[in-house]
Amino acid sequence: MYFIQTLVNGLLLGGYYALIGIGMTMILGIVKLTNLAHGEFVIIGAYMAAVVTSALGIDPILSLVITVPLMFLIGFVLQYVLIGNAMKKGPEPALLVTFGLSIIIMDALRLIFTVNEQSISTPYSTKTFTVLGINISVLNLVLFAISIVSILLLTMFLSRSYVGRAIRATADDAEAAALSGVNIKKVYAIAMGVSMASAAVAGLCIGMKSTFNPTSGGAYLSTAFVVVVIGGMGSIPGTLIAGIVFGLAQVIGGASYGQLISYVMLLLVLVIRPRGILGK
Amino acid sequence: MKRIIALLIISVMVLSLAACGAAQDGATADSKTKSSDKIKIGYVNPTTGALAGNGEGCDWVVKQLTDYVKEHPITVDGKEKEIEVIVYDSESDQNKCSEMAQKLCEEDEIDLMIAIQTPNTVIPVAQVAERYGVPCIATQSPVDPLAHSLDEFNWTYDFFYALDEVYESQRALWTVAGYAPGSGAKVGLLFANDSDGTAWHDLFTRRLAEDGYTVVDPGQYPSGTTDFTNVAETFKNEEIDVIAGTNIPPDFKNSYSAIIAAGVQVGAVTMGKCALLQSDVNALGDLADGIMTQVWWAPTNPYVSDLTGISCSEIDEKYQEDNGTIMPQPAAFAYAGLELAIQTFIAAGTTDKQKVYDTIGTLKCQTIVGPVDYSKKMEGLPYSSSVLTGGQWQRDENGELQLIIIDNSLYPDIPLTGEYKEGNATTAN
Repeated sequence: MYFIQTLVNGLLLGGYYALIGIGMTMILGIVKLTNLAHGEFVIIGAYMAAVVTSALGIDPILSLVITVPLMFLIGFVLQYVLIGNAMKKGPEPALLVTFGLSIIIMDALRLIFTVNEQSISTPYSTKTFTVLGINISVLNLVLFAISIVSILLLTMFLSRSYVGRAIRATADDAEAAALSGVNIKKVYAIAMGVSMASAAVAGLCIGMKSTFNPTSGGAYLSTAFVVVVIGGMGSIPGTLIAGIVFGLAQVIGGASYGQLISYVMLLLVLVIRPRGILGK
Repeated sequence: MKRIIALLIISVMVLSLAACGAAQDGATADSKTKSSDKIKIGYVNPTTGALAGNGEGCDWVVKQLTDYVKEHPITVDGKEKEIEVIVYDSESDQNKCSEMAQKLCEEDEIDLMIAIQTPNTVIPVAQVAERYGVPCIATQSPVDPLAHSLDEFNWTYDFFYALDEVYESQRALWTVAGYAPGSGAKVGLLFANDSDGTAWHDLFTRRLAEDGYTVVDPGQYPSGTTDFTNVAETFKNEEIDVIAGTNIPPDFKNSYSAIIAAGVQVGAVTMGKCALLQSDVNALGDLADGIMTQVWWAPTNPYVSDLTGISCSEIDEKYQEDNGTIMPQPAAFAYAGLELAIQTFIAAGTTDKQKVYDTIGTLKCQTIVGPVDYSKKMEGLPYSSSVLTGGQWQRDENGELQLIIIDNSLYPDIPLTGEYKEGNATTAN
């Protein structure tokens, strides 16, 4: 029974990790940019969700109706105006811009929200139910459902919409896509917008599951990196698989050795399959 | 146009970073111009970063005491002098702590160092003070980790509790909840594998066994762990009665949620760190209801500062007036640290470093956080124990979480503010 309980917990946790990595994989795979501010973007999402939830007195999940479009817009403008121009000078200036952004965001959050820990409370945060002797946390199940729905929506967007196809074409060969009439700058901005939108969802989940403060982003950046490298850059199904593998490793290793096992696994993937599980 | 906007944004970024640097350098320039007419006290504070909650209120405290000395100058080396407290941000980073402390000793030529706010700050700052031969008043860091960090201390005095005392404080809380020593109660441990968690873990494991408790130790874990399934299963299988530990808020939220999800029910939860600050407890919400913790300072404590004559309730009122929140416990210790520095110079009447250091050891006075008497020693470190009571977070009639003092068995002079209330988040469902 303990084994099944472990598997269920690992699976539920996997969706949460995948969600943290999705935004990062999009930017690495499509824009070919190492976004060092991704952790801070996620934390902005958490603060936005907290503010909207408390201001409107609604269920935290409903806050996504406001935070997702808002974060998309911020991502679009950031890429179009700032990061995109830095990328013209090469990958290093763009990397530095994202590093600078992470510091500015951290300090801005500190000025606005103070350094105090925050979280997003839900009526179901401590509720559990039992199925066939397996305890299931309602919160973990809700977070898993949010992750799966987000990943499905994103996959559908990328495979069925014109913009999605343009994004995939750009990811495969930006030059060829440009020759076919795709506006690369705009595509990159949309990709950053989608990445920020997914960061909004990830931020909400982090806020509900844990506590956060303006400096919490760094830890989530490293989680995102691990998930993206294991799953393969740019692969959304790969990120989901990597999230689940990462979650299972955490649970099987237990609280004491979970992180160690996860990072040993990362090293093994880098040695055996450097492109990641589903990387091209 | 786009280029202009991009340039503007980059300029703002550069100016912001430059402003940060200028703010830091500003303190140095100011300190250099006034080197002779002021007593210089160095202070490394975690103003930003993960420990920033502990560093809250530093500026307010510094202003209170520099203003006090402005009105009541200290006679040192035959001249009336004010104090200048040079504060640098450690960014909650141990390397930065050492760097800033070195800057204070080398460039600012301080007369005394305050090492404060958790072992992460205190240990590196005190070590630099030892290296440069600068008298150092350490506080708000348990004695044990600092005492174990060097073989001998020639310039440092610590003013806080030893871990044995915090164990006794938590034991008193378990007793209040019905789990006295010898009751055979099973105590489940929740400790991260950082230096603080390890120091607590080792001591608690030994003392619990000595007191006849059954220790249920699921193992320590790295801070930042998100899954605690095996910990929860261990606690469930062992049917523990008490949870004891010290954790930062995210670790506590993740572990405690997993324990509740596994259906574990306990009669008492005692926790350090995350149950200290009102803001952290508010972030934990319902999980914090009923949690017990050791209390270093409360506005209801009966102490009056020998230096300024202000009482605990008066300083809290003043803090609330200026900042809108209850005075955090670490801010009270920041006040006490500076009180001790000023008392030292008043008593020494000189800035001669050896005489200043010798004077710290002779201080016997009352601060806002209680009496000081550096007569104890742990390994090579002389220290004075600070007071400890036991508190429980309880919801008031408005639903707000309030820290109620429910046990004063270690320091009966400190008044209780309420009674123990049964129940916590594990028994709420």
